[in-house]
Amino acid sequence: MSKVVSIKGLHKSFETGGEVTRVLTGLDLVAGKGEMIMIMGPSGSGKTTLLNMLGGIDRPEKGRIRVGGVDILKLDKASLNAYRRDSVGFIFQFYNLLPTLSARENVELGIEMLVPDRAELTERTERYLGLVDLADKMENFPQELSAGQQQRVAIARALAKEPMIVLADEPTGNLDEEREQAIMELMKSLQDELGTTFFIVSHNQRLKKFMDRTLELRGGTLVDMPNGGGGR
Amino acid sequence: MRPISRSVLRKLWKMKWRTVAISSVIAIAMAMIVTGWYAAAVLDESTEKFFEDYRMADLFVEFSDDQDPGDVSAVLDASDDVKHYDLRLVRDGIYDPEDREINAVLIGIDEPADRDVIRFQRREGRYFRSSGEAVAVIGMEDYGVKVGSTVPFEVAGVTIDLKITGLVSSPEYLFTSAYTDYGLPMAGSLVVVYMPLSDLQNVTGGGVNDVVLTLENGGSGEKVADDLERFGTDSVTKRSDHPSVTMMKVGAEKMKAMFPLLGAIFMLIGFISIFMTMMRLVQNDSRYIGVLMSLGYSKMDIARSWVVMGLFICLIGSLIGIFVTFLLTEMIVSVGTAMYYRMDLVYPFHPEPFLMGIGFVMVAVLVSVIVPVYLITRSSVREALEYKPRTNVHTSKLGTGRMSKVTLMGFRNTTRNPWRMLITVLVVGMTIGVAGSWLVMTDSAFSYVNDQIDADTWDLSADFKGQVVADNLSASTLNLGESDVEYVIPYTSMFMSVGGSGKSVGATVVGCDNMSATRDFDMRDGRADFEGAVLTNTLADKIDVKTGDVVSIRKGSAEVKLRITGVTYHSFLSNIYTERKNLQLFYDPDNCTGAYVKLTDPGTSDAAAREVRNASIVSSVLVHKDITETLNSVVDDARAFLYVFFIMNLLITIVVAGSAVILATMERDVEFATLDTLGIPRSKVARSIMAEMSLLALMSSAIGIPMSYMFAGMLAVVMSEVIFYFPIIITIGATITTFLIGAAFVMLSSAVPIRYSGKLDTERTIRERTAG
Repeated sequence: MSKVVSIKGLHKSFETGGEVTRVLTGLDLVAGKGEMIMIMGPSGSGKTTLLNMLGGIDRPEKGRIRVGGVDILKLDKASLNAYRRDSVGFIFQFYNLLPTLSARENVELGIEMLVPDRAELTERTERYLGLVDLADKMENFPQELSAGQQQRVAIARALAKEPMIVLADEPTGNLDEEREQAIMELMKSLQDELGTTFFIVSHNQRLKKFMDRTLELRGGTLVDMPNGGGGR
Repeated sequence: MRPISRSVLRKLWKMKWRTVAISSVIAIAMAMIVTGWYAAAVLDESTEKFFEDYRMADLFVEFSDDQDPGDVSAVLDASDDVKHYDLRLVRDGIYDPEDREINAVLIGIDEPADRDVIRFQRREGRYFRSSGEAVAVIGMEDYGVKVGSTVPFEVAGVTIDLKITGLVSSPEYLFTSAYTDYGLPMAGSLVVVYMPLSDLQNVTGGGVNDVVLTLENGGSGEKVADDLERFGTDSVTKRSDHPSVTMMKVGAEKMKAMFPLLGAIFMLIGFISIFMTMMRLVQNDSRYIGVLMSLGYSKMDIARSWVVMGLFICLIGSLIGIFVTFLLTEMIVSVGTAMYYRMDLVYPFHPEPFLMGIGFVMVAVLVSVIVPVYLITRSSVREALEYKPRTNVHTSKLGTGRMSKVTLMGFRNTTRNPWRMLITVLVVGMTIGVAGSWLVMTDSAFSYVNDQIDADTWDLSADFKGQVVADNLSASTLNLGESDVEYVIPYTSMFMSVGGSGKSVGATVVGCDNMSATRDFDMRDGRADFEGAVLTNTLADKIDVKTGDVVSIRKGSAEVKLRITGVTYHSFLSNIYTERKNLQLFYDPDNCTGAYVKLTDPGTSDAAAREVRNASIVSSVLVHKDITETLNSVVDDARAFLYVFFIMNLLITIVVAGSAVILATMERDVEFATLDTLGIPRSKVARSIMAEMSLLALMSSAIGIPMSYMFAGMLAVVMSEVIFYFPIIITIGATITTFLIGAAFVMLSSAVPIRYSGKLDTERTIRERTAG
């Protein structure tokens, strides 16, 4: 399995009310192509911070992050933008859909710069919305969708990019078990077909069975955890 | 201070730039309200001081013929009412540079420096010291009347060469206009020089024909005028009726009259802006209010803490507002007066408008704070904790599928909160409307003025030295060939006291038997029947009369009463037109004092005027073309001045639009952060904001156009009372300019959200605003 993500000696701290909290203290991580990794940990342990750094929207005080062979900490603003556009799919805990765009338009927004051909753009958008079972809700605006449906639009928006890595923060938090199963299977199929690497932050023990690895953020570093057994 | 009040103030400190932005909106609203009143006070006070410093005369008396200075002095010295006086010899002349003839007034005086009456403001060079030298009133340098030049003047057929040693401002000639009948300060059409009295006496004969004087405290101008009547006075003008004073008064009156209206408009704009801003500010803190309620603070405690915040914002806004008021006042008065003269501005202690402005700001801010606090605190603690401003947005299918989704989002964001959009468009549209109203008014007024001038059919108007038998008048008596003229129509013009409805003013009475041939009379009411009296609307409104009323015309003890047959539009002239026979009580109806001349070829009016001036019976000639040219130059000056108002109002548009969009932008920070995580470049986000702003700009500008006509109509009513009547017309130029420049200025405010989105910390926004 070729190496896609390599993190070395990551340090990050936050200052609140004059008190410095060290969140990441020399964190190391290597992830291979098509790996699905679950990151667990108590609240405030730095899980989201780690995802944000991988996505290039936060920077560590020290350390190195290489994604696809590129040291993303050395990229300028424009290149970081391009990196996020081409290689990263974000799935937010609270979906972050654009309220004035329909489900279809939200998905198109994420990929229109990657897929210039309109027919292909439409085809890919409809395919991914279909895969998350929203074929009949494509023209609905976020506020006309349930929380679960909004979450699935957010997932479709991230996956439709067919990115190198997907960074998901509690991606199934608002889904029932049946939908959760379907979404995870969709992710697994992308993992298989496209070799997408997934980093999934969740407290949901049921997801473990889909993971190749489960890590826990403890004391600012990652510790291997036993898997549920569903990974490859 | 109580802890919760301190906490609210800390909140303000934390968001310092927003505090400054909110305060600026308040400041601008306040400044617009206060500036009108204060600028009028500054203009009044500065003018008064200028007239005092430069010893403006209390009385101006002209004699019909030259008088012995000793005789006049004896009368004035004997009067207890006179403080200082100066005897002068005043002659009309012609300054004849190469391309045109310009009317000139030559005033012989004894001493140019440190004068007791009509003191000069030396602007360049020095005063005259010897024979052959003169000082000129500033403003005609472009025509060669400048320091060091020797200027030839023709007076009574004699040429005098005068060396100009200095340029001065004179309080009696703030407006150097040859067209004294015209109620506009048409500066730049007249050369005025002050020269040694003896020089002028040597040319035109000894004696004096003009007295300027100041009165003792409590002195009676009427009594002095009566004393001088024995010398045969041609005109007596009180200081309060002098064109310099009345023009300045008109300026101050105009500001006083206009700005309350503008102030009221801006009060509304300011109130809506402040209300929207403060409402949002309080609503965004609804959860905090819920926390305070859960801690047991009463509604009153909470309201009080927000009132403290409101007062603090009032304080900052008022301080900035006072500063902006002085800035605007300085700009308005300086720009307004710089067209004609230079004066030091006096800023009087005049707190009333400021107190009123601050009072308005306090009411607006406190209402804007208390209403949302009341709405939130009337609910239960649990509801207050959960209270959120409406987060659902209005969705629409605006835009096409082929459009970039980021741009599409921009367009749709315009209508995401339709009510707020409507209010924003209305408020911004109002500011554009106020700005545009200046252009509409300018175009309407000056197009109307041009129409008024063009309504005259004559090319030359010759004033005679004395009365001339009308039947003897022909082209040849005016040095013109019969084939050169279409008509020569005699008239008799006299300045008389005119009264009606208990009011009486000075007006020009024109007696002419073929009046309707000289002008295309545009009647406001009645008909152009000169058997009776036709009044200009300017005069009719002054003395409050209408068609069918009787107007009385007086000179000394003689009085003629005429039935008013019609009122004609004329923006400037306070005239009565009637047949000559109606005025026979004042002069021989066979005689006339001047003539209108229509030339066969109007292009030859300069050459013809030269010939007419040389006719023995003629004292001065007005060339119609020159009036039009001068008026156009006044229009250009005024246009530049009104454009300053236009731009100034549009700056307010930027602030109002900017403050509205920044609110809309701030509540979308998660969306901007999301776009960043999707790898959408800042340039595309900026384009999205521009798309949103362009729709807002177009809608606001579109609303601004009818508003500009509505406000222009309202201002024109005020203007008709203080300057002159003019109808508001649809003007393509003003409409297009208002639309395009208005939209452009709204677009400029998109810099605020673009900068905001560009500076947004994506990670922090996602972490703080979407953390569970």
